[in-house]
Amino acid sequence: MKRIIIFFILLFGLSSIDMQAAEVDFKVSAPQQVRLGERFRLTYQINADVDQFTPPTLSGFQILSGPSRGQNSSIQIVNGKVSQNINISYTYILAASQEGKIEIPPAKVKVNGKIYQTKQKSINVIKAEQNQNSTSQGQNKSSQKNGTLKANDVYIKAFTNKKSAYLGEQIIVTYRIYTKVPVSNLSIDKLSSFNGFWNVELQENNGNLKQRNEIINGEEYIVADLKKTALFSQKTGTQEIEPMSLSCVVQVQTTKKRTSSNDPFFDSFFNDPFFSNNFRNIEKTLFSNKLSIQIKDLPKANKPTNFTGAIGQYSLGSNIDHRELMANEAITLKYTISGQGNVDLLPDLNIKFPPDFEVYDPKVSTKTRKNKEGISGYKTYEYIVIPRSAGTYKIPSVGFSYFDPVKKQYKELTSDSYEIKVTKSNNSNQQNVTYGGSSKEDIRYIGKDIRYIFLMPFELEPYEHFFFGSYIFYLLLLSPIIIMFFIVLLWKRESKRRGNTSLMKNKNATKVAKKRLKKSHEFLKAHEEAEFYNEIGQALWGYVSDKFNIPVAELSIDTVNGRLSEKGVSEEVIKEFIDTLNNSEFARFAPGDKDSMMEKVYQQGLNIISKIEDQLK
Amino acid sequence: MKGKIIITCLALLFSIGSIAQDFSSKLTTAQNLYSGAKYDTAAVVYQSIIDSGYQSPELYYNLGNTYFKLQEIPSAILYYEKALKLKPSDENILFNLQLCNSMIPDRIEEIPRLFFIEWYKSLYNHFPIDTWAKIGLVLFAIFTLLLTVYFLSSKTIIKKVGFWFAMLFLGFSFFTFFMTYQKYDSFKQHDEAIIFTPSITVKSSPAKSSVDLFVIHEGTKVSILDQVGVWKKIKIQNGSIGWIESENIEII
Repeated sequence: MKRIIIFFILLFGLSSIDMQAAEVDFKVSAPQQVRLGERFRLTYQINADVDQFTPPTLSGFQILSGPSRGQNSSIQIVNGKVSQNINISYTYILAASQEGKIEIPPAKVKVNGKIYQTKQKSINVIKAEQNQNSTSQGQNKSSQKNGTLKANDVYIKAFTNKKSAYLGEQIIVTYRIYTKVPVSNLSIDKLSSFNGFWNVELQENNGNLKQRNEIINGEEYIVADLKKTALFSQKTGTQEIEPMSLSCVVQVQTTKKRTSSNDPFFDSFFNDPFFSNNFRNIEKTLFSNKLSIQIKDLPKANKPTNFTGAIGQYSLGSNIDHRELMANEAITLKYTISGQGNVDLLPDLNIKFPPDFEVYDPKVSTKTRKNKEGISGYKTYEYIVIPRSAGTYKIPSVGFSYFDPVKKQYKELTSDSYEIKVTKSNNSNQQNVTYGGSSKEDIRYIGKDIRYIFLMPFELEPYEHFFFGSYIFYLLLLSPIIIMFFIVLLWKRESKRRGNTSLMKNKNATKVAKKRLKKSHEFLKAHEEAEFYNEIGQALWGYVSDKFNIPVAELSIDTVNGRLSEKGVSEEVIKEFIDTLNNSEFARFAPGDKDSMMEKVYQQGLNIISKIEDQLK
Repeated sequence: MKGKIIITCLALLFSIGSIAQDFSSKLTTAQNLYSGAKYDTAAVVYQSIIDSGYQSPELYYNLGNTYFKLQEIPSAILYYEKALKLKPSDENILFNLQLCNSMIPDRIEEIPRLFFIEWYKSLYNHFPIDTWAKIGLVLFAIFTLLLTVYFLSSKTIIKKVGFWFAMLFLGFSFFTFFMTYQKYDSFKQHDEAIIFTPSITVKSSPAKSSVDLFVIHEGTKVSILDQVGVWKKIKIQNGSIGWIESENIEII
């Protein structure tokens, strides 16, 4: 039993000792000897968690990069034995900038409150420019034996950050050059024409390419990003990106053995390794690989109605400067959409301002940032609106929706809505809303639409059946004539029936007189004197009796005279008429040629009747 | 005889009344559908009234509106034109037709007609046929009235005035009936049509192989001049003439 207890004590004691035994080891590693200008690594390694690392002041070296911190840790439990390994490294990439022995002062770390420090390290920097050449020649000999270039000595590779993307999603294409040999005069012959994409250059092409070393398949390459482009696809389907071509001058070392001449001095001079290692410039055109990207259409489901194609991750903010103001004062309203994505192509906001607001075109400003992750930024819409009359208005919230390609769903954002109290402007002289005068407002037409339908009731009629040409039409056309005919007929009959002969006589006086005159003319031709004068007399007396409504009983020269002058017949004509009457009475007793006398009286009668007719008109 | 005529008139009037009774329920339904924005159903109801052989400018106009709301502009134009034929100077019809015409692809410059032809056309188009006919009847009735005055009056001066005014009104009524006939004739002619095919090439002769002259689009109004088989000789408003197949047009 005791032995068991001792065993456990031992066990735990040992294990605890073991834990304690993992003591802090802080060391520095660097090459003993470097050439002037050569790059090398300076690495500090520590096997404990570091609270603070104080780097040394490095003089005589050019710090190319660093310190970069690297960490790996592992915990092992083996048979209850816990061992934790932490390895933290701080790495510098340095290049010696001066010859001689250079001291690297100790670096300090603080671990669990304790300070540890490394030993001082000294590096021998030698100048060995020629040596470097020879060594590098030796290094590269395998690849450049005869001044020719192997296919994998220098090449361009194009790659994207994703193989498939949504329509309008940001894709980053990188063109990277890998080289083992010095290259110069890089010039891009043909850029990829990003058909079906909207592209933005991410890397400023100022000629300075950031270089770094990379080991690929065990060979060290110098790597530089030539070009980085953010692409936004415009079409769905498999989109191809044509290769880029680039021409450059590659320096290839040749180890040409000179034919030995007889001049030993000359020979020895030119056989000097410095001259024997010739560089040859080879012009080379490099082509990148072809890329193909699968572009998916945006999902149809749950597509917001106000979605206008914005893709990325965005947020929407808004800001107003006044909420209570007087009429004719300006409000500045600012909306900002910011986030990751193609900010330039963000659509305009559709804000429904109250119709009585004067709205100016928004000031739209876009700020984009380009970095390795692509384009991000913000777009600001600054509206200046002027309420023209007092009242309480509401600026509705603005909706903005986008598609988030990472979460694969549509997102909708809405801004705040604002209630604005507008009080009457106090400088009433310049008030906009005046009644009458030149500042009257024109009616603003907001929409255009057809007029509304005709409302009931309205009449229907048989197709192409018109009132015109119908029976009723003809009936109505003829009925007035028929009615007129009947009226005239009835009227005539009625007046006859009433014996209103005077009217009839009056109407027929001229006719009757003319008839009698005609008859008398026949007597004249027959030389029947008595009948002729009788007829003439009757014609004349009858005419005045009928025409002037004088009863036969009252017929005398006097009444005729009175009645004619009453009717407006002139004295002359009356006198002539009375003469004619007298003639018809007395001519038969007159001496002379009877026939010519009769003829004269007849003519007189005709004349006087037509004269009276004329005067009565 | 008189009694018979009166009975016929009354029968005709009543028959029109009963027709209105039959369709008023349908029209009310269509009106309610239209106000409820159910345009496709409203169009079916209006179309069914037209198919049963009745017409009115209001009916055509309402159907035109319904087609407009359904975004079928050529149909809307067709029915507005039909309505306009029946009621030539209605402001609402003209407004909607103009709006529709601003929405069709073709903009054809109308060649101006001689001013007196223009006046003449606008004169007889000023009233619908039946209004012209009624004006004519009234003028003719005035003529007979004046003629009666002429016959019955004993005073020469009244007789004279009556006679000449009667002649004047006879002239007026003849003129009006002439206008009515012109309008009637132009209505019966059916020599105008609306293009219904979205895009159609007008040919130089009635054959598919003939030369393409120009392209017109849906909603354009054309006059029909002649016909050979299925081909129709058309004239567009700028005076260009060509041939198209009749399946592409709808007669007004």
